[in-house]
Amino acid sequence: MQKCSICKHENNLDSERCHNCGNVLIEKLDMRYEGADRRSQQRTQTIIDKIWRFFASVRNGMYILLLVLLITAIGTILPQRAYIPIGRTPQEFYESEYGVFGSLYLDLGFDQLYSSWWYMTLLGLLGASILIASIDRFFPLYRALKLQPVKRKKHFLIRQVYVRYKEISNQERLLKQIRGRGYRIRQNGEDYLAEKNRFARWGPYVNHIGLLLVLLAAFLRLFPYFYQDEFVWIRDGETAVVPDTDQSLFIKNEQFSVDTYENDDPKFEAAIEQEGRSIPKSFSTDIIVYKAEDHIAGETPDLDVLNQMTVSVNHPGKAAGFTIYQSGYQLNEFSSLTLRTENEEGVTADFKIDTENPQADYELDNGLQAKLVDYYPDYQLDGDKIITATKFPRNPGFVFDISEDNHTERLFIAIDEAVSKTGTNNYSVRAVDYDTHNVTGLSVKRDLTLPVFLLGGLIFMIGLIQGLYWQHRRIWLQRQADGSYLIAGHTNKHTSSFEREMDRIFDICDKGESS
Amino acid sequence: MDKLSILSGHLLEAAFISYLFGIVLFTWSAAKQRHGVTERIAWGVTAAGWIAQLGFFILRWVYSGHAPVSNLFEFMTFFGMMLILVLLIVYRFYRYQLLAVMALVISILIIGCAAMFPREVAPLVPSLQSHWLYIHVTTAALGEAVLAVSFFAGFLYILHETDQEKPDRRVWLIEAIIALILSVAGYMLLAILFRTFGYTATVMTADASIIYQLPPFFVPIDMVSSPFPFKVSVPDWMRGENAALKLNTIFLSLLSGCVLYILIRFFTRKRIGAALQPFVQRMPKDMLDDIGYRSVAVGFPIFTLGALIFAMIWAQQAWDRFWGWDPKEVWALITWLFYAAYLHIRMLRGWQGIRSAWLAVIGFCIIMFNLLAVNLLIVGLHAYA
Ligand code: HEM
Repeated sequence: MQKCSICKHENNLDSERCHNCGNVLIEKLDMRYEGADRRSQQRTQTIIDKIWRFFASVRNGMYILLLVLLITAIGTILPQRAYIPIGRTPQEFYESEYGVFGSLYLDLGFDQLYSSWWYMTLLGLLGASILIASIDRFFPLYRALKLQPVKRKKHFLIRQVYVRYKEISNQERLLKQIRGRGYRIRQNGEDYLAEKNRFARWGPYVNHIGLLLVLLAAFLRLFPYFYQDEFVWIRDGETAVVPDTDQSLFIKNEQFSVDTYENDDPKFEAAIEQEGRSIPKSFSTDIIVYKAEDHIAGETPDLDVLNQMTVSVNHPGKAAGFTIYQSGYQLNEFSSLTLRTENEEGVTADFKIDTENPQADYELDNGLQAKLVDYYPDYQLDGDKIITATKFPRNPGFVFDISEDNHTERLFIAIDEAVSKTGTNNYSVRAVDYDTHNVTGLSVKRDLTLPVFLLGGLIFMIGLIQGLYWQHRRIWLQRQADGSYLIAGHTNKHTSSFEREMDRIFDICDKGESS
Repeated sequence: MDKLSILSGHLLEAAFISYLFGIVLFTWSAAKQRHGVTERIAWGVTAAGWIAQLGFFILRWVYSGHAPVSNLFEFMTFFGMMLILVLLIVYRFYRYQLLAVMALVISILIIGCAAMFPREVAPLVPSLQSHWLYIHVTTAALGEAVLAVSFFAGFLYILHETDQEKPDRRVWLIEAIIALILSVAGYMLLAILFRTFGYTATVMTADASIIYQLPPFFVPIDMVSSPFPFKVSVPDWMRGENAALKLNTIFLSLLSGCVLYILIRFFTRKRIGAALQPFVQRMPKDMLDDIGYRSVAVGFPIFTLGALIFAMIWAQQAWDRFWGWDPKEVWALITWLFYAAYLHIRMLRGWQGIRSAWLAVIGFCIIMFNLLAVNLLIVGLHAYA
């Protein structure tokens, strides 16, 4: 029974007009899940049911999705902490660059938004929503589509998007037409059900599985077993151990090289001039990867050559389960500085400081003694305080106590600077020579989650295309008592092109009949 | 300059002019309300323009030695080219002239804006030397172009459906969108005008001199001298490189947009939305709704593949991480999330039709934001671009 919305008269289910007032009764059916029963629609209301119902709702899922979207966008208002300039502390940077808003941004944790626990939680909720909404719908839908009868009730058919009553004189031709458009036809008595592309209905479920795999991969990354990320700086000609590999993996930098574009290349002249400096063409390092035999701690291990290769930007190399990327460099770091001291009599003596391991004390030939008090590998003035911007000897500065007998003078010395800190100037010290080297920065990674990400992406794409580039379409042909046919059609999307297809099918049949 | 490069520049101009003719012819054909010769010529002219632009693309590729999709000028012209390609294909299925007019207008504006960015052929820095870059950029642009069709259809739907008798919020929102589009056009006209007269103004600051191509209303806070009588120092929090220059550009665009808007209203004597409505009135709105959804359905997978998956593969090779949360990346993700939401929200009861159309408009705004504003605002106004 169905009630007329105007006069409330109770009508038969398959009447098309109200017997009382003539109002058109037919409302299209919601065919999305074929009217199947879903767990989330059941009445029992335990706490689990409630949670299930919450996550199974597309509306709630979209609230979560839009919340993720909004918060993700907020993270781009100010630069993330990973992108603030080297050598600046977050407190100072956000405060001085963006004032109160910057401080607030920092305090609320938006500076590291994307790795914050609550962002991850939100992604987890999104995952839960995708998972539960899919399970809630998939099984009922699967069953409903599998158990489809050919014969359907009239009130079901007349509520489809496409409904016609037609005489069909040449059944064979019609069925051939329909078959020719890729439908498969089942018959029951004199009724037919033509169906195509049912697989498209599973597209969303396939793509959601892909998405869940991607989220899973992101979760696995939190475990060092799946994801290890190391970085080594190696000077030309030196060998370094890769951290956290149990001292088993070593890399030698044979030669780091930078190549730049010719400044007078006619093609690029204009662009290079606008840039105002030469533009690099390639960064690459010739490396040798060694595996260490198990060795006793503290001793120099025996190294076996594993692999010899060149890594450059966009062309990483592989060794021992790791991928090695060219990902940084430093030209002309100072390896050593030679300082010349002069005592009160004007006698000079030189000494050389190794910037990596500076000695604490230097006994000099002219009777002076230099004692290292402080060392700033990459010094910078922060107000009137000296700080080091990085731990790399890019701009070394030293504080020395220079003494002779019982007089001591404290001096700050850098490449082009020598400042007495005690105010007295009995001794002079200055840099007279230096050695430099180039350093390559290699990122050494083992990422077992990559295949999972890739698989997730692949499944996602398959599901997307499956669900969005094909449509599930059905045509019911139901013989009426008078010998004519009730024709009903359903498509899960793009109604107007489905109507076009149907009209064309019947057009061709009718034309065929008239000729 | 090389002959090839000059020729390729002329081909781009030819394409631009053909598209302009395309707009005129399609509009005429729409006004005649018939599918006839004019329409066919319009399609032909547009297609010819597209071929010319393809020629520009290929010659520039040959000349520079790499696919010309590696800076903003190249990417935007390419995006404009993809828009036209998609239009030419879509038009085979849905012959609505106004859809073509929308696509041509937006494409022309994008190509016009592109020409305001540096056009020199630049050598590729090492991280950009990857085939994945080309694959990523071209697929992403194609995906965005397909998604843009939903904006064209959606905007026409909105024009069609909005009751112009009642001046409520929606009516003014339409005017705002039109004014925004006019701002881009206004900026283009201004830039062409001042460029023709070779105007430049040099603003000196404490430690640099900035060359403006347009009158410098907005100057950096540490300005020392400016040749222009009116000046406003940009607020203190915008201290990025060229922040004043960019703010100046945005200001002048909006100003010229408003001037154009008022000029047009002077002629139409009513809201522009109301003036346009009669053109749209006879379009079948269900079809427009269908086209909108369909273009998202087709464009979403292409966009996912190009803007996310291929981008990640490239980033993994070039920077040893496939995802770095850099603003451009993040906005691609936001675009993707938004269109995913579009697809789901459409399934809810009552969200087809006008509401979907508004969503499609928002979606296109996000794409444009990522194309231009992320460079102009987010990265640019911050200190370290
Ligand atoms: C980033 C996240 C998501 C993406 C990319 C995504 C993708 C998709 C796509 C492309 C479709 C097909 C839409 C269409 O045919 O028009 C779909 C359908 C669907 N999605 Fe999602 N989805 C996401 C999240 C969610 C969430 C959070 C929920 C939870 C409520 C959800 C529930 C559904 C449902 C119920 C369907 C319809 C299934 C059907 O028609 O049988 N999705 N999804």
